[in-house]
Parts: sequence; C-alpha cells; structure tokens
Amino acid sequence: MRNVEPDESDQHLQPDEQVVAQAHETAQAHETAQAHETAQAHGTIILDTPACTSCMLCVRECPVWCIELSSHTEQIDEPGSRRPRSVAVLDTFTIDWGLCMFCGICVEVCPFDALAWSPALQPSASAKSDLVAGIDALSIDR
Amino acid sequence: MGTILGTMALIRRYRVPGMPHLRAHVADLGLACCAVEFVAAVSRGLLVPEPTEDASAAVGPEADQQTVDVLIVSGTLTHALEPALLRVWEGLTQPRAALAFGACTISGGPYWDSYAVAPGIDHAIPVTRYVPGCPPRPEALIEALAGLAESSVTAGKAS
Repeated sequence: MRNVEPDESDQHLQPDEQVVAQAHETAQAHETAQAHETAQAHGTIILDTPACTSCMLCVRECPVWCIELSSHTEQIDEPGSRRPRSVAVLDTFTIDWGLCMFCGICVEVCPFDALAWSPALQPSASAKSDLVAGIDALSIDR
Repeated sequence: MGTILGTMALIRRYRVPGMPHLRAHVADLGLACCAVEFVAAVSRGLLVPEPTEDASAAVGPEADQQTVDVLIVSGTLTHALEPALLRVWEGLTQPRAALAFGACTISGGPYWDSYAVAPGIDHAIPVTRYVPGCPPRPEALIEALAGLAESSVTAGKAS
C-alpha cells in the first residue's frame, strides 16, 4: 500500500478544473463562432446603386431570372473632350424575393461589387407583390 | 399519397414559445428540402411540440383564447399533389392560416417554368403569409408566425 499524500486531492481536482476551463473556452468559442456566423449570414442582398453600371450580368446569370433592371444612356459633354461620353444610368432594379434562391451568383458576377450580402433577415409578406423589392428597398444599408 | 400527407400534417402539432397570444396549432407539411429548416427550428427550441390534451386544459385563461390552425407548407408542390394539399387544408379547423415557406411554395422557385410544378401553393389554397428564402432560416419561420399573430387577417381573411 502506498501512502496517500495530503496534496494528492489537489491533483485530483486539477484535471476537473481543467475540464471546466476547457468547457468554458469551448462555449466561448462556440458563441464567438455563432456571432461570426450571424454577422456573415446570407440573409438578404443589398444594392449599391451608384456602383451599378446596368451591365446586366446579374440579370443574365440569375438561375431563376428574379432580377430585372432598366436603364438609359446619357451623354456627358466634358470640356476639352473630342466628343460626348455615353454613360448608362440605372432607372429601375428589382429583385423578386419570392423567386430568389439566395444562391449569390449575382453577388459573385457583379464586376463592380454593386450587389452584396447583408445578414439582415428578408422579412415575410402577406402578399406576393410585396416581395418584389425595388431600388429603394434594396439600397437600405441593413 | 393524400393519406400520407394528411397524417403528416395532422400528427405534428407545435406551439411557439414566447408567443402566448398566438395559440397556433402549427402543422408542418414538408414536400421537399425546406422542411429541414422546420426541423432545425424545432431542434433549436423555436417551436415546441404541442402539449397533450390534459396539459392544454390546465393552462386556464389562455384556453379561452382562439387557437389558430397554421399550416406550414414547405417544398415544391407538383400539380399531382395539389388535390392532396387541398384535402389537408380542408381538414384544418377554423380559424386557419396557411404559410408558404420558401421560394417553391411562393412561386415554384427554380421550377417556376416546369410543366409539372405549381407556380406557388396559392394556386391550390389561400395563403396568409409568404416567407422568402431558399431555404428561409428558422428565424424567418418565427418572424412569419409573429407577423401572423399581429395581423388581424388571421381570423378574418384566412378562411
């Protein structure tokens, strides 16, 4: 039989404390990960209107054709230029959330980063037509 | 198939914790992948299974409140399944409300142009609330149920 050292009970406690500390760390890491996940959540898609050049890439690449846009060109006559410069101006831009698959292809293909993910939850609606969002609804920084 | 759907919708009944004003019998009718998010909402405690008859009788004053039967349809509805969905809807007690959960139930989603898919469940039954997403997050389900509780249409418009 070996002698029981008085401080052996402390040694017994130590691993438990380690387990508790580890559990706390794990819980904290989990909370941090969850907060990160919420911040990065693909909740809805927002539009940076001035960045949009009406290039139609998002409209064409959307697998469900839920994006529609219209635009017109304006002539900008800059002093000293040889001829007026043509600029596309965005008139309307709509996303039908009732069709959208939230796949993010539009966000990926946009060459000017005019479309971006927002963690905000896309709210439900009592009518289908309320799910069609225009420039005003899409431009809100959520 | 109609019997299977009827059983699915009738046996699973849930309540929303934190929303005592919404005494909703939530019946889940999962036709495709969006149904997984309903399960996620249940596993996270956002929805709790309906208490037994005895337990609900013991609630007391709340029992006087009107209970709304909410049918949550998630997934792709094919034309072939429309009569089955209609039967499930007609099997609910009044007042009742239907929730279209996900792109397929709202508009047919990626299958909007398919000959076999209904472009939205509102072609078969009246819908009270549309929840966008592919799939919508479990939080979206709770948000929609909250909207359902707030809107007066629950008892009126929904037939």
